[in-house]
Amino acid sequence: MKRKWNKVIDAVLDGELTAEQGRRLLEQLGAGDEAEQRLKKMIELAGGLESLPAEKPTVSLGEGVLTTIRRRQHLGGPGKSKASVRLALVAAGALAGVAMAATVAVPLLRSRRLPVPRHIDQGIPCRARQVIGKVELDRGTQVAMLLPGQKLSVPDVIRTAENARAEIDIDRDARMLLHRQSNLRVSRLERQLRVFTLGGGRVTVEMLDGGRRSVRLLVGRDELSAEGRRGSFALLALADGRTAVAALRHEVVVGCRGRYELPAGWMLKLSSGCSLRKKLPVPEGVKLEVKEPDGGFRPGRLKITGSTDSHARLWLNGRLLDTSPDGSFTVKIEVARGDIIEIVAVDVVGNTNTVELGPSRVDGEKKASRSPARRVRTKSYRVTW
Amino acid sequence: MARRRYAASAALVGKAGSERSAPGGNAADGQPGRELLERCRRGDRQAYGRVVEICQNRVFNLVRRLVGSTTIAEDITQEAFVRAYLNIGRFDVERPFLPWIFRIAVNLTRNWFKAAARREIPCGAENNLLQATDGRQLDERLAIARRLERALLELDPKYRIPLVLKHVEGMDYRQMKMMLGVPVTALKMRVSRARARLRRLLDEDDRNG
Repeated sequence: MKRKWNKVIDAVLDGELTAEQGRRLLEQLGAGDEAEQRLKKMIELAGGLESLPAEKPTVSLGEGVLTTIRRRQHLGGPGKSKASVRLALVAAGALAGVAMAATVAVPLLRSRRLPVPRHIDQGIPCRARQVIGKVELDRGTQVAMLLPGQKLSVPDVIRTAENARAEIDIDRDARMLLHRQSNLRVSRLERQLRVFTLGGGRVTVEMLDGGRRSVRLLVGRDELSAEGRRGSFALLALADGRTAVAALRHEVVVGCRGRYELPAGWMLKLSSGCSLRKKLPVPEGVKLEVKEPDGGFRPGRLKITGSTDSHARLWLNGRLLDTSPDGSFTVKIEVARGDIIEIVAVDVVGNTNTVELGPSRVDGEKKASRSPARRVRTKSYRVTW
Repeated sequence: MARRRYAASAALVGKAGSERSAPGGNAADGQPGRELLERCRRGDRQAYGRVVEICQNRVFNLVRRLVGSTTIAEDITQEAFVRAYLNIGRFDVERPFLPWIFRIAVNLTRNWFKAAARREIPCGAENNLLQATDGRQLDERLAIARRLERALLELDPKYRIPLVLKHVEGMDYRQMKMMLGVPVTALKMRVSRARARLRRLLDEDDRNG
């Protein structure tokens, strides 16, 4: 019988019967006060749920939502079909794969020509992950992430949507090559990238880092002028974490016949369509000086300072170190007793210089004593003749 | 098929508002207008920001009732809006937006429940704090609401979700079926059991003082 009462009560709560109809039905079923009390309680419960005070978020979510959307929309514009977004993701995945494969392959290939310590190969960071900078590009830009020496091929190019804006995160050690026809405009550059402008399609090529920093630029007919169109195009290259920007007019043709490579020590500067090439001596070795600690070190916290060439990359026990634009560096590490620190500087032509730091003997520290002689148990006997 | 199911869902929005709203949208009924949604489809993020403003309270309230934690509810609500925007190309602007976003939010909440069960995250941890407050000092209605909330969070998510949709959001069973993919009879049974269990929990609470 109780089951029937419950059905009636549920029907009332689900809005299939009115409360009055429910009461009458319960009476007809011969239910007593208990069923009626139950119905009353359940109606109160449902009323209580319906009148729960409305909750509001503590902060407006709009800003957070838009920021997250912006972050996730590297590839596709809003309202794109799932297929196109998927295609873009596949392309990005493939591109990341190519970049990562190149990350592994290029040092290996180089190592044939010039033996480099093994730990350097292992220490090359995953370039697809370490995001520290951001470039915002205007629509229609073609973008590719490349390693120095790599060719830009058409499948590597991500073409941004005509009505969208692309945001590309650039890692700290990125090699990026950007090119497009005529009206490239980089609207925003953050962090270590430097702001540059291209004025009215005029040709200006300069190394933003200036000075003797060597940056490798690849300019070839098959690459930058891939579509064979005339006009201006621009090139942004980041090599070894350093930035170089070039905007070239097709007519200027800076060695565009075949491959043009700017070797280490070369600086290229073009202004208003005029070219100026100045050859600087190719470095025969890379400088590496450690100023502190002078000599050995003790276990504990250690500060290492020194300097290297501005274009060199520095590795400390296999870990890549940041250097300032003038090549100086400071690093603080914890060292334990018996640790040996190896600092390796490698420049773009592959010259290496290694400094090893070892522990110093602490004044007053006793020399390790010899291990005590083994004690031999003896027995004595009285010998009589 | 999906569109037909969604159409039925949209037509049956109870509290969520079945009528077409004004072009710009109305924060009171939590339903953005068609014009605004069309701008969103064209990629206008600012317009979507306005849509979020209009709908966020409704969506947050639903998720908050389900998970019992303001911070988690905010996270889920935000994620729901992000996913809605990324898939807005599949949304038919002729239909009301709220049931669609509700569905995304409920699915995300269900995923969160599953993940929480795997990681043994206590659901509704914030409500332990509520338990510590003295109900007598609070307004009586607020105290009743808190008792109800506390009891609600004692329920298994399997029962809690249909109960909240039915009695807090005022949806009907057909609409809930579209949203959860569970047959109406099963939903009726779950809601009935949830009510009975809730009543028992409240009675026990009364007896314990």
